[in-house]
Amino acid sequence: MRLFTLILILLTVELTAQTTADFESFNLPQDTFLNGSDGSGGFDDGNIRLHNSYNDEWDSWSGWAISTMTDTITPGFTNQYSCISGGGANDSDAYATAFVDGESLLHTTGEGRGVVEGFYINNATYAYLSMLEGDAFAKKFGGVDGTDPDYFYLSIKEHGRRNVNNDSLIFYLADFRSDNPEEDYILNEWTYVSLEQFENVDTLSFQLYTSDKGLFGNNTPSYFCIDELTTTDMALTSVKQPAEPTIDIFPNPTSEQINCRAGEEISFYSISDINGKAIVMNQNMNQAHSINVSLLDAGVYILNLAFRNGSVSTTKFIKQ
Amino acid sequence: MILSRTAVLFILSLATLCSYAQTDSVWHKELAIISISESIPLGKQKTIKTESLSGLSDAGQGLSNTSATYIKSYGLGSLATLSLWGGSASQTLVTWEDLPITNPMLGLTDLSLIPMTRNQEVKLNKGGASTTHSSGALTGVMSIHQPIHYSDLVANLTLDLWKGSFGEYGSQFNINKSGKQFYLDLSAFHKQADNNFNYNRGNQVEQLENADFSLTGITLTSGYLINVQNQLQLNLWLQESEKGIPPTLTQTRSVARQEDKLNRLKVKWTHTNDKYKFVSHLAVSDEDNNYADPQILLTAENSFLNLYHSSLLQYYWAKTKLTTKYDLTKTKGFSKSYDASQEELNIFSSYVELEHQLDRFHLTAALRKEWRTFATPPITPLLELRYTLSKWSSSIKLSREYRAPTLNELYWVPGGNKDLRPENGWNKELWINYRYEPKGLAFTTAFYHRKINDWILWAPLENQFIWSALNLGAVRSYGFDTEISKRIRSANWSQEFQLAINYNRSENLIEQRAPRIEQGDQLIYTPLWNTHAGYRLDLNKLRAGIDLNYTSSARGINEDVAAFYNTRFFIHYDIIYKHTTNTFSFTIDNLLDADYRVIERRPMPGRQFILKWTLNFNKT
Repeated sequence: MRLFTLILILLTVELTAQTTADFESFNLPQDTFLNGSDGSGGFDDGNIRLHNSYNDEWDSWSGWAISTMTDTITPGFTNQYSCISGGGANDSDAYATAFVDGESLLHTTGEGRGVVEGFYINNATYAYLSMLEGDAFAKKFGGVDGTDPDYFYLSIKEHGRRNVNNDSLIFYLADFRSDNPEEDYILNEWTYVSLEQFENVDTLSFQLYTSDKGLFGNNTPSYFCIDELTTTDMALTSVKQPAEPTIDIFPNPTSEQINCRAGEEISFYSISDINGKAIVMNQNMNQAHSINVSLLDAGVYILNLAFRNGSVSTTKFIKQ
Repeated sequence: MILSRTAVLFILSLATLCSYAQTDSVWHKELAIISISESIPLGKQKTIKTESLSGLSDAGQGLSNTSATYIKSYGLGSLATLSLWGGSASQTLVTWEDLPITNPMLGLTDLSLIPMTRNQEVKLNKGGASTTHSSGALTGVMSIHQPIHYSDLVANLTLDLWKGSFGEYGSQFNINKSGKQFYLDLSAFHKQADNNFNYNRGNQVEQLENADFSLTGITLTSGYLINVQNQLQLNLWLQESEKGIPPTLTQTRSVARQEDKLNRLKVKWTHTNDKYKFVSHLAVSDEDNNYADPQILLTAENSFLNLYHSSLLQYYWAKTKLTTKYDLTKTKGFSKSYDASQEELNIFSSYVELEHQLDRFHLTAALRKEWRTFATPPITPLLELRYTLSKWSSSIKLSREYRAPTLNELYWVPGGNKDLRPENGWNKELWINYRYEPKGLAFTTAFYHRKINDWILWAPLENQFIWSALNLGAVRSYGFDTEISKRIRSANWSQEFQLAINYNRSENLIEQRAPRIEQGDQLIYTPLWNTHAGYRLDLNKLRAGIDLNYTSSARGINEDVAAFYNTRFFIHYDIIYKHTTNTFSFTIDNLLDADYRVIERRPMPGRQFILKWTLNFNKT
């Protein structure tokens, strides 16, 4: 009985162990960053993968970057990697910066992959100073007299292993909606966000919404930073590695659309050209599992598929 | 000898086969001719006395003050661009002495950097002119020109000194000397201003900062009449300017600055006889445009070197005129934002035009073809038929229009797109003119319709945050442009009234996602109505005038820009003593102290004054 209890306790500990992605393992020197220019398409730390899209031709990126930038005073996009606290959470050096174009994604990976428990969040220097002082494109939050009910919030949606939850967790990075001006704030300290309300979160999508927007979309710079992202590991003994599903796409070559047949449910897809340049990013797969490619130029493309079981797969197709 | 001349003619005709005419064409509609003048610009080919009004006005101020032309001004001394007939700033070509000076990198011209120096004219030819003036002249041409007059020996020395609101002051010195065989006009000028005016921001009154502006330059126009048939002309324009970029209404401060330098030199040879005319141009220009914003650690240093050559040949026989012309342009653009640090743009352009007079009808048919780097422009034809009956004339015109991508649209990193197609489409115009000189009555109206495909737009790429130059849509523009004026003269005085109304509908035909523009939407910063009313009184030594401009509301990017009025008053008084004339001028801009915007979030100044003294010494 004692032996059984001990085994049970050990097993329970193993089941509830946590892994933290603090991005220190990248060993970045101070005031440097990784923006995906190596073409890796993302960053892995702990049990987390952060997706990144890098345009080699234009030296530009979206999605996630890893940063140790400490600049808290330079406004503008030339300082787009910095966090307003000048470093990571709990006095660490490294953190991840998101540039949200539509949405930024992360998901759990690795042998001990589990569910996302929570993370620390803060404003990027670019967004913070823009809201604080205004810039050539974006307004100073609160307006001239500080009474404008401005806001800048992050909408976090979960994508569990088996289903997509359309409920979202809203986190305000800046909030001037209160009648009491003393309650107005622009976040400038690392703050923990718990994802307790979600169950079995293995993929998160992040979207930013602001009160300051025009014909061209958000005027407020669509940046924020995260750190110390914690996942609850699954016991190694109980983890069954998701097998890479067999996939079949047809017709190939194609001129209008391709249809996907796979052994697992597909959650997202993206398309890149033969050089790895992202053409279409992180689209939800429709129920028919068909993708319209009629607008693509003729050539060879790579279809990247992400499955509900956490596995990913790539295959080539030819657009005629 | 005859054989020799025939051979020369033959060679010249080959050399200029398929080319084009600019100022030598007769069909252009010169809707507005402004110069530094107190006259109201109106109608076709109006001759205007050249006399400065308010300091050293720039071309943007001149046009917006005295015509129903929409100038997109970002503020005093700030960027100002011209939009004609519902088009964009890059769809109007700007020329200086027939040399295209539209920035080949930006594709537009900042009118705040074009000072209207003494004796210089700015002509505005509205309507499609891609055939006659090449790429970028989709909606018209603004030409800066100084007429040359050979006469008995005349010498003019002029000094202008002025002081204005918001720390503006400046001076201009001009020497103008002409003889039977030579002409010389030299202007040296400097002006600067703090432009630190007060403006309303919410419920607060604030003072604009970092809006200072200074401009220094020299212009030289000289001509030498070698003989009756041959003339040489040399033009020089050297200029440096510096301006602060003031904060927008969403900014608390700005320390951004911009410096521009230009060196332009042009030589022109004209040969004429009773059978033909030959004109050849050779020009070089070297321009810098440097922008720096230390606050955000941003610098953008851009420059270009431009070589230009053109030759024009016109034959006359009976009632027919054949014009051929070619243009050769070689541009090297230098920018750290180009992938290869420098990019080259080569353009060879050819044009042929045939004009024929048949009783009251005048027919013009023209073709143009360009070959240029990274674009394959189509052949652009033009057909115009004019009918004249006494004081009335009317014309119809059909032309194909296009605009090739600029260097930045092709090469800028990030976002440049080497696969961009030129904007292209068709333009139709109907003109009706009436002029009765003895009664001082003139009337001009134009109706136009234009559809442009492959409209070039900087927009975010789908699923990427990068803005790129894309061929996105199609735009249909139509409207009318009407001017009427009446002049009343007596022995000791004259009065002149003018009314101009310009209606422009410019609608998007294909829905855009970013920026969000629905099908049928009016384009941003394209007001439907622009009107101008003006009055001039000339009592010989005393001259005065008032201008009233109205611009209807326009759609902006974040908010609509409200309709606004702008009113201007001026008075001049001459004191003449022998060969010397002292002129005292007083000008009030924004007379009614209106609080208005032309561009959202960019404050405009309230009432402002300029006091000027001009000393002119004239000897014949």
